[in-house]
Amino acid sequence: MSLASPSERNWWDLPVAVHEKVWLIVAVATGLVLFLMMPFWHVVGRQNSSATSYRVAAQTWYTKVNDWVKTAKVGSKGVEPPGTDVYLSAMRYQFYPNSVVLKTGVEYRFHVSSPDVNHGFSVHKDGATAQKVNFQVVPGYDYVITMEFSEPGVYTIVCTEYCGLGHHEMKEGKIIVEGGR
Amino acid sequence: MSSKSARADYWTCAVTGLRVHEATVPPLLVNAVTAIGFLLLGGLLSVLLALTRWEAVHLLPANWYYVTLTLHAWSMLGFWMIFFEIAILYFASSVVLQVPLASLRAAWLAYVVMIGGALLAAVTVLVQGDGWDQPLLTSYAPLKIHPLFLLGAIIFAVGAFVGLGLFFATVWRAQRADIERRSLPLVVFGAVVAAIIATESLLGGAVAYGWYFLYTIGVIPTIDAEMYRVLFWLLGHGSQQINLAAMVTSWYLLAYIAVGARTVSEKVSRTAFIMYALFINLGAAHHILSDPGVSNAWRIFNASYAVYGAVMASLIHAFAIPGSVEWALRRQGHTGLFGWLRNAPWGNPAFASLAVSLTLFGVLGGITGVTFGTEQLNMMVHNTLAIPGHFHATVVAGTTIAFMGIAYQVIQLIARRDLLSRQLATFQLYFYGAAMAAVSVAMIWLGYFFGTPRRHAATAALSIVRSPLLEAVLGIAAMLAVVGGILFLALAVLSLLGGSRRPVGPRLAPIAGGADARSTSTPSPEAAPVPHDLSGTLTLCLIFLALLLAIYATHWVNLASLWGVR
Ligand code: HEM
Ligand SMILES: [Cu+2]
Ligand SMILES: [Cu+2]
Repeated sequence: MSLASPSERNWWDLPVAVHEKVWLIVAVATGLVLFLMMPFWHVVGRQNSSATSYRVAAQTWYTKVNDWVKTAKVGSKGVEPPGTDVYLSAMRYQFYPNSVVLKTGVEYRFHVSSPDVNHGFSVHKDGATAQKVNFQVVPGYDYVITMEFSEPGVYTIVCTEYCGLGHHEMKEGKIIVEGGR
Repeated sequence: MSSKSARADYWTCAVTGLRVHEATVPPLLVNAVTAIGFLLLGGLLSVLLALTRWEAVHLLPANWYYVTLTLHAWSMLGFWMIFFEIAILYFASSVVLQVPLASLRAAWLAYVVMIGGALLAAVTVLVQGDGWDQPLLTSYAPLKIHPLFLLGAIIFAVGAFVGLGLFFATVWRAQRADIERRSLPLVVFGAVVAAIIATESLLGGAVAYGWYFLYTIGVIPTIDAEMYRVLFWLLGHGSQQINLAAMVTSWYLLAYIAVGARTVSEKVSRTAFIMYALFINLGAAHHILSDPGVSNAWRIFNASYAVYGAVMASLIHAFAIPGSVEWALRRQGHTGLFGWLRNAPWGNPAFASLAVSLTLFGVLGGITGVTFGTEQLNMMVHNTLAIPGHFHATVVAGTTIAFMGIAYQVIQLIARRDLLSRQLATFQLYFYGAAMAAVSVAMIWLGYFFGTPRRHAATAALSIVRSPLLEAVLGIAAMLAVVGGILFLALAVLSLLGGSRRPVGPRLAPIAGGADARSTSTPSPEAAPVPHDLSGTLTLCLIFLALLLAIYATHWVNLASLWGVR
């Protein structure tokens, strides 16, 4: 009876039922599998959470993004990065630049940050279900996320963190991926 | 109340034999009823939210959607949960240990401060206007949040501290007065763990909010946004675990009331509670798995609390509670692998709430929690509707339904009123559970397959794929859930006001010297001469685990189909 003190003073020394013991062993083994999958995927998997980030002050970030856009080629579909670095600033209430043109098979280093508040950086493959990744954009941090697209197509960038009263009006960004080398 | 000297008056519960101190009843009931009031408010608001997320209806304009989201989250996760938990703590200390509350004045002080803080916070977000950002649940710095909202939340936490202190003092006194030096009953033990977690997390939440408050009034010039997120979740994450520990405690209580169950191993169950207290804070990491500013080692270490901490403890309770039910029912003569389960009292509200809460919490909430809380899998669902889908399975289908079951017991045992209709109460629990399961599954599905963002007032304007069908399921299921919620409120209030009075045992004066009349339990299952058979529970648990692993595996397969990210 869970409302009363245990009647046996030696409750700690009483044996555990066989079925419960089996369960404990199975549960610990399952836990180990759940745990080991994470380091294992860092070794064999192509999709891992990025842990690369640098502190960056709002002003520095602002200049960095603008300097980068100046070196890039701005075509009719969007910004074509000069190298493999891509800068994206999430700000109330748009992404800047709002469209980048990339190639398949190239590993790009996306730098995402914000000069104002938290935003979301969600990349969705247009027209597909369950093909998306979502990250947190935090002001003061240059978050470096490396992505390599294998299929050409249009990918939409959505802000998925509440960033103020205009959050739902925040304009989408686009990643246009073209067949590469 | 007929007595003049309230301190001296006990009455005996005709059902449990507990001697209830009469003066404990008013603060206990007032906290419980206030909680239920917030549940009603939050429930009515939830329909507006769901009908807004159903883009074909798109009920609220964006600014009202955000106000409603804030008020819903705080009425529910803040005020319904914590007021009810305070009532549970008074029950677990004064009623179960059969002593007076250490100070009635402190009980009323706690209540007044809590309700004052809650109202200040709620009214602020309602009237602040569009010059300020809405805090929603999390108020991530550096949004422009109204300082009075933060102040209200801090005041609320301070009031809750007083209630927690009162709980600890009451348990302390009862233990000191117990000349036989017995161990705490399991339900009180669980409540102590919940209260320890509550103390840490409310303290932490108050620190994070205090820091933010100083920023909003201009005392400190800048605030590090990621540091704030880590602090908020490291310390504030535990507030969700108060709900977990309180819910598991309620499960043990409901299992006892429903079938006279006693846990199959005091040692194992108590160890699992201690694991909650030790490991729960590491769970904070699962809010930060897709954030900058933290290393992978930190993420894996903290996320793998899955192995050596809280999840393990939950798996232990997941066996121990049905196991204790199986033990009790087999003792009553039921046999077969599942014969005991078929013959369980499914029509009894105590059993119904236990069964619904435990099943939905484990199958919907537990499985999604384990998968979404895995380092790499998290980026598929971070900030999508799958996240509120997960926590509505845990904190609504799990905790809220367990608390509804407890509320029906409080009405019968503490307020001493018969339920107007036990059948209706049982029906209400199944109905609400089914509707909430649909709400959760719709949100999980929308988030997982369609990537529908959470906290978004106009997803129809986005160019990502949508599912109008699932949005409709969410809207309709939410309306049904609220009907179930209103039924609960109506039954509770009408029974309190008009249910027939239940008999009381003899009134007693306190025992000289303050020693309590705590009873000791029936012999432990472990001490039984014949080994007990828990094969049914083991089978059920293994089926559950197989389901978990299957779903977990499909998430990895899906992750592997994405483009390269690192
Ligand atoms: C009738 C039952 C309920 C329904 C139908 C419901 C529905 C919803 C919906 C539709 C949202 C909005 C999701 C979004 O747009 O991002 C939401 C958010 C939320 N709900 Fe509920 N809910 C219910 C009960 C509860 C309860 C009992 C709790 C807590 C104990 C709760 C806690 C929350 C929280 C914390 C949020 C998130 C707020 C945020 O994102 O800041 N809900 N709910
Ligand atoms: Cu944004
Ligand atoms: Cu936003």
